[in-house]
Amino acid sequence: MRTVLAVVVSLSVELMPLLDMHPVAEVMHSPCSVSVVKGSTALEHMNRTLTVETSEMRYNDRLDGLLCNANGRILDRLMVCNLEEEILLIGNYGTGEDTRENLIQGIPWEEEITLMNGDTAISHLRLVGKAVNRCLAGLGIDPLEISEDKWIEYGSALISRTEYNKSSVIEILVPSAERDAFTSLLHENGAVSSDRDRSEYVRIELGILNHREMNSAFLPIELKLEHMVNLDKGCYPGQEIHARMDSRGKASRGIVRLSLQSAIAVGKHKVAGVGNITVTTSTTSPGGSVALAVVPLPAISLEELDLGEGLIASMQSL
Amino acid sequence: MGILGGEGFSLPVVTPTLVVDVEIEFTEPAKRAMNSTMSDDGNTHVVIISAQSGGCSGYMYDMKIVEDPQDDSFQRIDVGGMTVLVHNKDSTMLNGIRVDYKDTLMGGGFQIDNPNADRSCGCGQSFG
Repeated sequence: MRTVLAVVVSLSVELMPLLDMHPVAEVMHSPCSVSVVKGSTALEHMNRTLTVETSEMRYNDRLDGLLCNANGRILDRLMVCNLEEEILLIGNYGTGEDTRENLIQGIPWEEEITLMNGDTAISHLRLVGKAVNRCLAGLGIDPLEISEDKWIEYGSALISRTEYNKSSVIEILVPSAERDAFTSLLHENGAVSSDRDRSEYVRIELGILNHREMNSAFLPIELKLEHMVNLDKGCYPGQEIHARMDSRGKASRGIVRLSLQSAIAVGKHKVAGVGNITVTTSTTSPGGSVALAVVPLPAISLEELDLGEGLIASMQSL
Repeated sequence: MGILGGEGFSLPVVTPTLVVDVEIEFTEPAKRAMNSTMSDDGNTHVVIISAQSGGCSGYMYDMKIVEDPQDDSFQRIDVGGMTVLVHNKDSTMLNGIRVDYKDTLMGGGFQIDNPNADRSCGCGQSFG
């Protein structure tokens, strides 16, 4: 009986559908924190603090970096936009106060840098789907102009692109007061709005990390965020740890996507023969549920994880 | 109207700063080195010791010889006839530091031992 059950479970795992992308596009609201940094040395100040080299950023350049603590763990992920006289920082949801305090504390006495809270002033939308370019073209935007390292202006909005799991995700920053009107414009061009559950499902399938993963529980290397860490730029908080991990060894754990036939709770789980895994998020999917989890490194090469009590998860690396 | 032209932005964020009376200890080698560096500028110039974000551990030390800014935001400390300034906003981080000077080819120069630091990085330039 046990053997038959195992076969059924295994089949159900294999038959789980991949992400059913919308035929045109879907709009997802991505809660975020927003800060604005002003001052002639703002870029240098950010450069001393973030994991990426900001000092050479030009007008409308985009750079995604991390704010880490001295132990190398993540405090915030910041999408940086250089607006010449101001630097716009789009951070993770719920991190704004701490990030602003962190940035203010270290302003040198001879530099005049100010920070503003814009948490409610700007909204972050994401556009995902099989034909996002068609939706953009309907707005009069040339999709080829949208790159990963620039923000283009569209009215009051800023638009950029990020590649996740071989899918293009369009990042849209819009004044909150105009969010509904902008969303309506996207609807008129074939997009539909996703509810919270659908947005979380898409986020997990595409491997878009947010505050649930990018927090002080993890190091960048554990979340495969090495592309947001520049070890050549010189010192920044956490650099010593990051450099040591890069030169002397690898992380002891890594992030994966889990597909299961039933729900799994967020939090730590003890898995026989593997050790502790940390599920950061979980939501229902057409085939059961999907989750993101950080698992011990030796387990990453496994295709399946036996979570006990008949619950088998198929694993994919991000 | 650009992305920042809408409503909802705060006034510049201000965080309250605790100010304490700063005491700094200079070793004799540090005093000699500072005296030698200042040369004849001792009457018009001061040494400012400060902390700014960065470095591996969160904050970096900085020492500068500048013309006396005559600014009440600084605390003035007399060190063997030379004036050392510490900005009020750095006072809690720098109170009680001991400044030494090592005359070695590698890793030499001014060294700061900070009792307020939970950690410092290998090169001694930063603390947290």
